[in-house]
Amino acid sequence: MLLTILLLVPLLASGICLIAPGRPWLEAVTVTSAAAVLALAGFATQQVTLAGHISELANWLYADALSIITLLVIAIVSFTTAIYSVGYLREDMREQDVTQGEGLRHLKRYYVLFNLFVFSMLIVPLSNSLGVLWIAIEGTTLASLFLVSFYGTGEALEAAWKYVIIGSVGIALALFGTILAYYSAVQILGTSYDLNWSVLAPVAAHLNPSIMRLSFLFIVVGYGTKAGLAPMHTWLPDAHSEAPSPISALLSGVLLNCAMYGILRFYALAVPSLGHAYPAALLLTFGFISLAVAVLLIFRQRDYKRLLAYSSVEHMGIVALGVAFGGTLGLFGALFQVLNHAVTKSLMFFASGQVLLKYQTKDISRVSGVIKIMPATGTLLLVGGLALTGAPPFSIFISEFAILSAGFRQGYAVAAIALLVLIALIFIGVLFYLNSMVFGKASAAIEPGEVSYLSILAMVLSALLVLVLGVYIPTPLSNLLHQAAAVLGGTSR
Amino acid sequence: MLAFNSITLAAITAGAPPASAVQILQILGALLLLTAFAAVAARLLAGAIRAYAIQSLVLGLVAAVVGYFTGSTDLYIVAVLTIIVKCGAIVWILSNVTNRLPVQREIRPYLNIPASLLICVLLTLLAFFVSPAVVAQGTFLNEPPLAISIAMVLIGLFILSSRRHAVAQVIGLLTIENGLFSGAIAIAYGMPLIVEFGILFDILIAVIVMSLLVALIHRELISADTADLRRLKG
Repeated sequence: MLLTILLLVPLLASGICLIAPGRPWLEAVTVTSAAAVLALAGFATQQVTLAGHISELANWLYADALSIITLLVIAIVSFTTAIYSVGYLREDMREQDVTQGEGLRHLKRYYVLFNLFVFSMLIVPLSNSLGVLWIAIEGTTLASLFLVSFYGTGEALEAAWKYVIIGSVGIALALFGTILAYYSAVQILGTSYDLNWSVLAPVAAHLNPSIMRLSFLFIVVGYGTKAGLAPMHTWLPDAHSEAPSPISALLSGVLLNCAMYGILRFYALAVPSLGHAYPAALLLTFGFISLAVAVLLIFRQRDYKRLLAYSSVEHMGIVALGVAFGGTLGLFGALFQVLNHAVTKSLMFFASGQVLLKYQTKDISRVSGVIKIMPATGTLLLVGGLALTGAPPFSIFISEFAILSAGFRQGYAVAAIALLVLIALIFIGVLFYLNSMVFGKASAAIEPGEVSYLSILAMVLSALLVLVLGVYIPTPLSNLLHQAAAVLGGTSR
Repeated sequence: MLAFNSITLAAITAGAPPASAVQILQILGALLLLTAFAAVAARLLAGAIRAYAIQSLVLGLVAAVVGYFTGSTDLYIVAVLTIIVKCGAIVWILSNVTNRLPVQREIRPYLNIPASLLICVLLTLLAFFVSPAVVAQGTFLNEPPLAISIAMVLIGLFILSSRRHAVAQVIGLLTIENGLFSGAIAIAYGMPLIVEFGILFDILIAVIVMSLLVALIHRELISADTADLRRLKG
């Protein structure tokens, strides 16, 4: 019942928001729902750690350690984002009358879709069927589309259009990959079987390799489009920069990981039938293209939200490389990187949202002295920036270190050195821009003072998590990550 | 090729007249391809929408015919739903959106129509060239149907990238999807029923959502020409 309830909570919250009479209701329902999902995800984690996996609803829902990692990422980030949304929207819609009419409808639309978006993302890791997984990933695009276009400006609509068209083409290619995966097992399981992970995983070694090879290619390109792997990433900077900041945080922190989860599931099916070399080569290629594109575009970026978006392309590339390097260490690093990136990037989008509200511009060159005007936000922006670029003692340092060591250990020394160089370049680029934003002369035209204390609470929670995980990984989490690495085949070699 | 098909088909469907099945499906496959070309050749949006409607009807028939020869009731249900959702709901929504855009009902290609058709012929040839590589040992209907699906996917991608009108791009997307759908039927007798439901439902929602977005874009820019959407770069 646990997983079913977990899915019903945000759906119910979305429904309540639809009929809620006013803003306090919308805020309370959304935050409560996010907190409940987080608590339920905690219980689910406990059960899975004990039992290995759980399944419900006549096997439609299924969770193993890999699902749980993604589930936790969704639950944690949507919880902090729910809190942040409240503060952000109160400030953002300050001049509008949100007690009635158009203003209330606008606000309502945000919270209804927010909960629906969280719901659609939660289905992704919990669905047993690879078909339902596809449906849910397509669903995330549809649920988040009007959140991306929330401001209704020409740019926002353009970003939304690009998002839905490019996303849908990607997802269509992933559908082809899914159909091929289905076909690859027709010779073993017959022409009519449930396209379930729990059915396919035991026979993965016997799937038709030539069809699986093609299937995995389509999956990587298709879901890779939604995961923000270059060169299919073109929707990502637009959507991330035009969406309201809490939505950027969700897109970057969670949505990308949901699509990456899709790739990982198929990776776990592809490796037993194809061996490690081919899937690794594909992920290595897309991983490096992503990193290279990110480096080039980060250095010539003028818009700080787009800067963060390209940093997401970079991090998805690093995750792909971690999986490609493989071995328990590489997979452990990749999965830990997923969690760390989600929390850190959402922190950065929260902080940049505060800056945007204060300065009313996304232009890097027109923002300076954040730390003088908003001491708390400025500090958190700096902390987040250091964490994001992989500086110790934050958690991304640990996961990137694990991925790099895996590269050397698994015989990808050249790739690992290249990765190290690219990470260093991005470190310089991101911190160069952040430095000019955080420090520097504060403009006299901007009134000092924090924008919203609720938003700061959300940021402090994220920052604490990043810091704590950088210093100490709790044993249950470490066990969970190792279990998930085993699902991906980390112990077989 | 035909002989090989008949043999495998006979092995699977004892009693059914295999040669006629293959022939019917080949005719339907040719029709599918023809409607994809019709969508490319259309000068007005209404024409492209009509081509899509016929295409979806043919697709429904393909599902029904394969269902008949394999004795799968699931495929009958899929056929009926495909026709209701695609020929009915989606076509209605698309026509509605188009009618509400007062001036712009032309397709607005980046590339003129004869050149577009030529490219689509080349894409179709490519599809027939690559499809043997895709299918290893075919179970049932292998090469020609799959080549047609791949051709439809490629033509859909072409429509998507060469047409400026937002609604035309949606039709490109839907053509890709029809191609994949026919591919699923051709190589694996369709997906599990619940997955097919989900996919159809998703597509319906996608079309509704995109139509809303087109209406918003039109209100904001007084245009549904995606070439006017070019402010976001780098």
